[in-house]
Amino acid sequence: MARFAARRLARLVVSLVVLLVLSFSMIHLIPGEPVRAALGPRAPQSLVDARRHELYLDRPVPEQFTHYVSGLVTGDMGTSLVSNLPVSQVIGERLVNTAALVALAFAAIMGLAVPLGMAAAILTRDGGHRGVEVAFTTGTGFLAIVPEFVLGVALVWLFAVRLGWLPVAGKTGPSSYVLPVAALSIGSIAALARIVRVEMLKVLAEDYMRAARAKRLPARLEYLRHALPNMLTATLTIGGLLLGGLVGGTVLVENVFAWPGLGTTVVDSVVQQDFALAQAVILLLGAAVLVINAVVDLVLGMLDPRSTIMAA
Amino acid sequence: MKLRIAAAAACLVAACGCGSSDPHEAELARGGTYTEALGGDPGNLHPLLAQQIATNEVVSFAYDTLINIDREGKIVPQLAERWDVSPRRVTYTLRDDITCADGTPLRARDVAANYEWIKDPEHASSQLGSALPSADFTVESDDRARTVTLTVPQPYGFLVPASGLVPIVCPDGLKDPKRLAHATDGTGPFVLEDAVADDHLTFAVRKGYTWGPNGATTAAPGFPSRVVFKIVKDESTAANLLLSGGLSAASVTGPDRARLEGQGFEKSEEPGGPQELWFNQRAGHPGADPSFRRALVAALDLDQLTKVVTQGIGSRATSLTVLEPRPCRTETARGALPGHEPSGEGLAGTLTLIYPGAGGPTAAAMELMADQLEPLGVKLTLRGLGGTAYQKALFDGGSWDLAWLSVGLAYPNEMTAFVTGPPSPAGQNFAAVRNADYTRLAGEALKTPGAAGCELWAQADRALLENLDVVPVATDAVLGYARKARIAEGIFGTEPTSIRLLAG
Repeated sequence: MARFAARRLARLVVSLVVLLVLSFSMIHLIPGEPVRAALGPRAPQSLVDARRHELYLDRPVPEQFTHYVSGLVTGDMGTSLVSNLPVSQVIGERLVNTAALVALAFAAIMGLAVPLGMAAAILTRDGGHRGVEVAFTTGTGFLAIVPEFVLGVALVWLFAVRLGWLPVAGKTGPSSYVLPVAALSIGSIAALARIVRVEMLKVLAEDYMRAARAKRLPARLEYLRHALPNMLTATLTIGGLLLGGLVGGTVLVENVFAWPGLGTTVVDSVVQQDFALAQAVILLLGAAVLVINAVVDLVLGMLDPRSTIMAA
Repeated sequence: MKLRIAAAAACLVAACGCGSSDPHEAELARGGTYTEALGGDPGNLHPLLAQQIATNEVVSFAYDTLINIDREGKIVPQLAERWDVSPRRVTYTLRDDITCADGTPLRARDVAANYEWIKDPEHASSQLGSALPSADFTVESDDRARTVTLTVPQPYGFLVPASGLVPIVCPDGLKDPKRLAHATDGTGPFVLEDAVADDHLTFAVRKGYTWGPNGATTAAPGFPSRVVFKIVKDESTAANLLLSGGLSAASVTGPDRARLEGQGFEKSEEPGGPQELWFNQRAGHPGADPSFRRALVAALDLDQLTKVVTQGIGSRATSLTVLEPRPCRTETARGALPGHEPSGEGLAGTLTLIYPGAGGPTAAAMELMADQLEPLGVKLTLRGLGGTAYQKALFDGGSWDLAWLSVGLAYPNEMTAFVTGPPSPAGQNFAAVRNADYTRLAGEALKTPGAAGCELWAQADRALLENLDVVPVATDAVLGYARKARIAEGIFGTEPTSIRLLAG
């Protein structure tokens, strides 16, 4: 296990280095003059030159890269061209909001999809409750393919504009989390619940489950102690992928709900070629996805002795 | 988010002398919160570093300027009760009752310190190149006489509107620029109370404020006790917030406006900046030939293009500058362009047209332009380019024949850099325009202040239009909706002292 963990962490470090180089290069390959764009065509050339010097943009690209990396080590990510604020401050103020949204959405996904899928499997095993099966597969199939922003717009129209039960947008209190978290998680809940049901149906057909039923174990023990751990591998694997996807999903959802997070910041920074901010946010979001995947691999290796991941 | 309100709403400004359309006092609320949508996070709130439209609007609530400009484009007093101007010098005389938010009186030397701060290249102030053309000015002050004098080396016709619209920071704030990134220290009608990045900013009203434009005060009936700017980047979200009561005002110009019609909101419609067609006049490009330019403009149905590019709510452009509210209006486009007579004579070949963005109404209008020209033997290759890529292509100069853009000028003199001097990339003359009449008239206009200067600028702009160096086509309409509130457009967005909350 220790060798597996070391190997997995080494792979993570290599991936992070590649991400660092790519995020830096990507922004510098976009054509155009970011300082002129930020200051406007009427800004005096002397002002543009002074700002370029201040931002290290008048140095060769390798020197800019080493300056960027040394800045990262000391926590200095540069200054946003557009807002004139330190990048670390811009990110710090928004990261917590995006993290809260993602964490709540992930909790909702795991907390609802697993029992929902298990319940659907128990009800529909051996061809039982045909109506439930049709309703479940149709409903979850539909919700799983509705894009997050479409769902967000529909939820706002119904629960905020028509019924007035919840805030339309912004971060105004606990109730303001409900709609963005719902928009971010409903599709994933539906998708994961379908997978959980299929995995659960497979587990329920296993001999050890028949043995458990033959022993007349209480349903609680039968499903939670014997079935759940055996379908956890697939659930965790998909859950990890969904968590990575949630990070990307925040971009659209934050826009619809005027949520003060990193999702809208990354789009704005790329569009405005605010390269210092864009490369930092891309690096951060990319690193988050890589770390999530590494953690999922490690957890799978630890929890499921049948898993072949450690041999990979 | 900029919200432009119809001229009638401007009458709410207390001292503007048109009280007949003011709402009855009984219709006005007592205090309350006014919430406006802002299209983006304002970032650093230091007013002398502000680069974005959103920042300029927000800081105008906490920082006053020496003068202001009313709806008719007239310069009116604010911190300065009067000013004496000559082509190279302006002397502002301050009111004697102005205080900073902490209660300390504002002295002439404090105002002068702002201009000295802007001059310092280490500060990289955004006011250079926008409000003030360059740093080679001198500033003097006299506390006893309450005067601040600015002198520039060359005659400059827009000296008062340019220098007088600099937001004035109080002395403590000027000494501590880092604090001003998230706090305010000015003489304005509001003080920043709370700011959450990318979410909202809350301003609290200042009591005893009596030095607004033309003497406007915060004691007027219906004046809000708080102003909240809510950062809303999506128009649909802004419309939803208006419908649910989460906003008092927002600008909605896209399809969501249909949901706001008939809901009892105060509606306003203001012209935005003109959108123009430019010809690349470098050697080897067909646009270098005046007869080609004339034939191509005659071949285009500019009315139809206007309808498509403005989604049916704009109008034909009448000027090269943003019209409202500006001290120098040059409505020169009327009758200067050839009529729609598509003969095709002198037209043939393949032309490359660049335009900003890749979709939306602009792309649709460019396709319409291609359709209009195709039967006449002109094949347009359309290139929609994003942000800085568009600017790079425009200023590199070689890869385009026609360019669609909105230069967005506040004053007519700002056009000079783009239509005189060496072609880009050596200069900023991206279309390689050579127009001797314009250069002569603009040179005279630059030295001539006031109405006479404006008349010369109008003649200079007309010289550009008659030579078809630039073709102003369409002006977007900026639609604003207000719920239980009335506001007026000011020079930086909503005029802070114009806001009135309605009861009910």
